Amino acid sequence: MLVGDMVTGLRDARRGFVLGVVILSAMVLAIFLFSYNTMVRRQNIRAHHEKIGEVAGMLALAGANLLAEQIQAAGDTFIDNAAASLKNTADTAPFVAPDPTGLLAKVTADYHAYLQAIDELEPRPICRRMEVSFDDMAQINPDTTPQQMQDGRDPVEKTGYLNITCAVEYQGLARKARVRRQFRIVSMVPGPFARFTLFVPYTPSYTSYNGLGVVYNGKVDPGYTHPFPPSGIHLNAPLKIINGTDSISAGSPATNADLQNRGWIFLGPSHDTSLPGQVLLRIPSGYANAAGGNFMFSKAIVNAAGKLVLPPENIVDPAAFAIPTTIGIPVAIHGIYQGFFTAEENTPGVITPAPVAAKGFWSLPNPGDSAASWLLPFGENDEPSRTLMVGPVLAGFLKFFMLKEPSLSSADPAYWSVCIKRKLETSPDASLVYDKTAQVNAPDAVAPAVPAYQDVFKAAPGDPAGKEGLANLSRVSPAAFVPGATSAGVAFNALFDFMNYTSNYPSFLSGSAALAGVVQRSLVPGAADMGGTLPPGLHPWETSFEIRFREGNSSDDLFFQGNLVDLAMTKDNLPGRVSHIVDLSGCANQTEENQLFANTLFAKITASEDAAHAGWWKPRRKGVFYIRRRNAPGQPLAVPTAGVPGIWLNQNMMIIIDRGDLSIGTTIVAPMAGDAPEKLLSLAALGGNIILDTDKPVHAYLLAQRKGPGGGRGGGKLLCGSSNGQRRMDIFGGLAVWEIGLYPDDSSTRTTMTDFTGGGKIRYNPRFNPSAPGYAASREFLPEDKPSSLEISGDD
Amino acid sequence: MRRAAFSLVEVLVACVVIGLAAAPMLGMLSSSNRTSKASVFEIMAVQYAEELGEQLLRLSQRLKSMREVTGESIKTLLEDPQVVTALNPQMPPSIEPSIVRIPGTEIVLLCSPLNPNFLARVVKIEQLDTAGKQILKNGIFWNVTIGLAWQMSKSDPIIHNASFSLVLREDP
Repeated sequence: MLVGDMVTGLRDARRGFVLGVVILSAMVLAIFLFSYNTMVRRQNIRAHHEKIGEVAGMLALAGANLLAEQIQAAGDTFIDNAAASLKNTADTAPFVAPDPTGLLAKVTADYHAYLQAIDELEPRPICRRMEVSFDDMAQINPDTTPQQMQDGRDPVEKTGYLNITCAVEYQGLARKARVRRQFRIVSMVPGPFARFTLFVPYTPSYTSYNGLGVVYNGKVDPGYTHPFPPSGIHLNAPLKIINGTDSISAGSPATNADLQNRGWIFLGPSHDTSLPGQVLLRIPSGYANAAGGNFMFSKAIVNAAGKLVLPPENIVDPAAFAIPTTIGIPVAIHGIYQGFFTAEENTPGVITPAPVAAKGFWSLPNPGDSAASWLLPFGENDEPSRTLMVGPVLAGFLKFFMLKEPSLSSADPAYWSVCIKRKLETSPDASLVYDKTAQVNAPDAVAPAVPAYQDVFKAAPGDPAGKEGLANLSRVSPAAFVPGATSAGVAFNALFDFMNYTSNYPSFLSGSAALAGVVQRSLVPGAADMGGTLPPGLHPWETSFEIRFREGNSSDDLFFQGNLVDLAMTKDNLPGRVSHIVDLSGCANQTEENQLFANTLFAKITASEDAAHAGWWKPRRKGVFYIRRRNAPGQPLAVPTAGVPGIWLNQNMMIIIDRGDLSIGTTIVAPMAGDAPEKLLSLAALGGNIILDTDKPVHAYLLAQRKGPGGGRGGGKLLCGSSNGQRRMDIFGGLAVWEIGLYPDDSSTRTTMTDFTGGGKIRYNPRFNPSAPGYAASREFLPEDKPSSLEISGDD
Repeated sequence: MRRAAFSLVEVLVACVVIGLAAAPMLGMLSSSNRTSKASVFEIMAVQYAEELGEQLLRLSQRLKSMREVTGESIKTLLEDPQVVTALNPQMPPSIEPSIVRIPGTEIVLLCSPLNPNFLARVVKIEQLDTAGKQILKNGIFWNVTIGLAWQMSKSDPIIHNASFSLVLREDP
């Protein structure tokens, strides 16, 4: 019974089991299939969305590319309008560019219109928006260490990412394409030396630059041969330095901004045992009207008496330079410059050898030293140029101050003594009139007993202080008014600019305000200290020497600090700026190297593009190019290769070659804006010389800053190529080389002065000046050629 | 002694249940498979278009030089019969990407061989009208459409297709 019941129970329990299993299985299967179907349908929807998204994404990417092209075509215009802060401030916060010119809105509208014309897509896609933003920005040189300052730190230089975004909607699905490009904001000013028209750290001898024979009227003496180098050399013409342009940097009357824009000159200390450290420039005095003149300290006049001497400076500063009225001196004070000369021309056309030393004006080490300086740092008659000399430079000129009494002819040898005598008289003469011509006619053969300023300006006998005018003059030109046979020269390393050529003083020198209290370091470094230093003037080897962007105490105002002699353009301060590296190291020979270099950097201008410059070269792109040459290049890298009529510089470029010489074989001309080239080109040979193989204009800053062995001679120079028949230079930009001067003891080594016997002209392009108000324009926005990334994502 | 067993009725009911459930489930399975297959082909079409589209986008910078070298527009060059043929390699026999050489230039496009179910990969190019445009008017603007057509199976009479578009600019 028990067993039977158990069997029956089991059978009852199994009743419906199969059905249950089947139904359960069917349900499981149904659930599985339903899930599978749901998954597949989801996948299908996703695939469909992916297809739609791909359509939108491709169109968004195409739109972003079109916008990128337009931004590239707009060039600096877009950046200057929509993102000016990139070039002007050190701010690195991310931002979305505004659209002040409506470029983005217009491109968006145009692109949307194009999308409406695509018949294959229905409904038509919609261009939702286009946007430009900048992010991930960082300063290239964030440090403010002394080394960084010595490299010429620009706080605005930065790297970052440019994002160009385009959003397109298709069938209700929006996709956003973002083209992301790395960019750099870099200055196209090559370094601190670009503040200088001429930058020469090494001087072989204190008198290395004085190789030009000049007669008294300023004409070049064709018969003069300078004792340096020992084999002798005759220089046919001076090198005229024009430290600015009229429209960009000059003004009348002179202003601070005027000075700020002008280039300076640095001549480093001499390596001469007789006068170590010092550099003597012998300024050729005189004015040859027919020849255009060599230089002028003041406005030229036509001298009816045939005495071709510059007129004296007319000091018109009644507040500072007034004669004390308390003792009633009936004379006026005036000055006349007397320069060095190798011969004098008392009678027009008749040259009499008469070194200035023979007149007792100056004690010269040897007659050969009486030659004038090859450098004319203050321009010439047609293009006078105010100059700031920085360095241990002494000016070999004298400035005589005289007193004039109208009743006596200035040709009378007793003239000077009368002046002195009259100074002590008490009867005033109200009819005293300044007579320029009479002073010009003062006999040059007379060695007068020149009155000292302090004697003139004493308010009363025994007054030690003198007038304010004396104090002012002492500060800027401490020795200029006290000539004497034992003087080593006149220190004008501080302010050559004091010798103004207008009747107005530059405002920073007027009265005593500027030099007594106002320190404008972007104008004149150390101006406030000049009165107290010995020897007087500005000394660039002092660690406190600074070149500033502008007045201020922030480290961001400081462009350079330290000893200028140690300044060198090495690749160390440039890696952050280099936008392109051109590797020529694999070239088999020089021809191949030149060709690859030319093809990479330059393109030929077609007649349809620019008929005036057809056949010339133009830059393919702007940027800072670092050129890696072959290991041992025997010949210079040619810019350009032979037969090219010229380079039309329509974009900023900086070309740095790592080794060997760089040869400039033809004219390089940039379009002018104002009186100066608008585009900046710097050509730098880090390890060699620059060879100027043309006497045509070259609008560029040339750099060959390689130091000589042990910091001595044998460094980078500017040399003359064989095709430069005139053996002269015509540079509109600036020149920074290690050395240019004549060697006193070596005839076999070529130097800039032995090569350029025809002299020439270096005119400063103020657009290279880091202190100039327009410096920001020298900064370039350099995007990478190819996008760093392309991103397509959903749009909100 | 009687042996325990399932009743006939039980089995018959189970069979009926299976029969009733199987039909829709098989239908659902078949539909899902078809849908899945359609998704795969659609994704493949996207991949084919993306591959070609990226290369055509990069061509944008070179359209002018291509015209200078060949004297022909991009439209003529891409509609060349050789190009049209090269754009449609079938797999098998080909498994390597097809090299599509643009006539008269050194430029090549790489195209993956098409799945046998794909019937065609075509590139259609039309010039866009620049009239009325404010900025995007300098140069020639092209609408490039990449079209792909496929069948779910050889016996499937329905031909599916997808179009993808690009806008390219040729320097004047």
